[in-house]
Amino acid sequence: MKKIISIMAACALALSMSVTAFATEVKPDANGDPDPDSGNTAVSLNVDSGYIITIPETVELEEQSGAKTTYENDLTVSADAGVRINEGKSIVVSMASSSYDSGSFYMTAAGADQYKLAYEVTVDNSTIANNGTVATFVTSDAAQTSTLHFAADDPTYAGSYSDTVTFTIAVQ
Amino acid sequence: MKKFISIATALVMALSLSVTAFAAEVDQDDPNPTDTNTVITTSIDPTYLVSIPADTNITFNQTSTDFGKIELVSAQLDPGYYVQVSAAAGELKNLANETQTIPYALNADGNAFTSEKYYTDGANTPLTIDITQEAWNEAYAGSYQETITFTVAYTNA
Amino acid sequence: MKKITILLVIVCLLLSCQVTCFAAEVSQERTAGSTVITAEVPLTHTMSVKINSNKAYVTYEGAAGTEFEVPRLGEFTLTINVEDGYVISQVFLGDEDVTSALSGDQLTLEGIYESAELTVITAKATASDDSGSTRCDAASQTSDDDGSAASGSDVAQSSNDDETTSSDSTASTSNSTSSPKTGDIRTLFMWFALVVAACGGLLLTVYFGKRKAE
Repeated sequence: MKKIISIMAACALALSMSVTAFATEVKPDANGDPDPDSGNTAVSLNVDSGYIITIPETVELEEQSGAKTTYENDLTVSADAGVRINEGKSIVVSMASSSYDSGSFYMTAAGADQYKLAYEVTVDNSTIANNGTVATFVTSDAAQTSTLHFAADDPTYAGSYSDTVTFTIAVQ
Repeated sequence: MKKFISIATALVMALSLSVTAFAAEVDQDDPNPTDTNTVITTSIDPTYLVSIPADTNITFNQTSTDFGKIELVSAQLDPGYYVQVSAAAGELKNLANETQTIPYALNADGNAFTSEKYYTDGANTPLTIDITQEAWNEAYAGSYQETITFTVAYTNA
Repeated sequence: MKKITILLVIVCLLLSCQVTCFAAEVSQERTAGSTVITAEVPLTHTMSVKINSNKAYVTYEGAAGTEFEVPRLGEFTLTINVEDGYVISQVFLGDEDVTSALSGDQLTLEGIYESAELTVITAKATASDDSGSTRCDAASQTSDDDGSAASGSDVAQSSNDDETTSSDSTASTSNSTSSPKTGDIRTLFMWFALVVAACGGLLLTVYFGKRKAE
């Protein structure tokens, strides 16, 4: 049985071998020189863009005790190793929220009529505005990250506050 | 010993297990690759402290005595909630003979104080203890005392 | 030694602990707090006495003075002592006329709830008054207006007059004395002689007694 299988495998391998066939045939001319004496072959390769961007679904701000009580936390937007996009292009991640007003993002608490808790988003100490860029990734074999820092002051009222932000990823 | 080490090691490993936080991943093959939502949250528990008047001695024949104030301090309340403080006036009782009493009134801004609602940090109500001159004139000699109880409730009713 | 040292250190730490006294606070862990109010009502009040002349003085519980501590809301009696030839015209407690509360030289009051001032008005006795009387005709005339109470006081006054007449006549006719008359004023010589005789008798008794013994 083993012998039969091994013979059959060998036949399959042999039959699957491919032979390169040139489009242009070169034959000797009347003088015996090769005709044509050269040939062109187009070599092509198509590589798709590849990237994986990871953005956490939630971030909870935590109390920071100090001279002044604040609520803060970090959120990391990352690109897995091996980002590959067209030359000169980059992956731009921007952030927006419908709560944005007059320079601040806002969280609201359940049951609150008017009170909103303002919070700020910074990347490398630069404040992010609505629809602002929070991360830029380029073609790289290494993993890439961008850390967003969320911070809010101690609110007037107690309660559970929340806001939904939308991250948009675009290759530009 | 080996068993112990192995059990201990297992426990350490179990305790050091981290919880994976799932994140949204976007790659170019995702049919909707361009947008993803993240929810930002924070939770603050309500806290408050109510300051009530300290023990007070009333001078004989004084018809109105400053009794400090009720104040809401260090307050962080849920929206729509308040702290309600209640108290009732009564009679000072002679320690030697409780049938001998001096009636008094617990007043705020000239009106009888029964209860008040406090919504914000720093809200306060100054109080006085008022005894009529007639009550003083009729009071038997002796040492009098009374305990005023301040009841606190946190509600949105 | 070590244990003792440790114990001493612990005791020192405990003794050096400070206690912070807060006014009173109620946090959301507690639902009620209490405050104690106290008051002290005095047992006595000060009664100050003013007399319009130096012909009278007031005593309370046997002591003369111009300020007395009298019981609050209770009953007490002051004695108004007036010199011969003078009578009590009126007595005021604050602005209130309390002359009617006077019985002879005793003034009984009650219901004092604060410090007060007692004012005694004296006047020279009229010709109809004997020196022992304590009410002048003007006061009795004021009493007359009150009706039955006035007649009672007149009766009391006349009986006082009788007592005064039956006593030593020297007192009734005296016009000016610096202090009330007390005691016996007979000559002392008789008593002195008696004392000397008694002492002599005693000495003789002792002398003869010793001689007998020898």
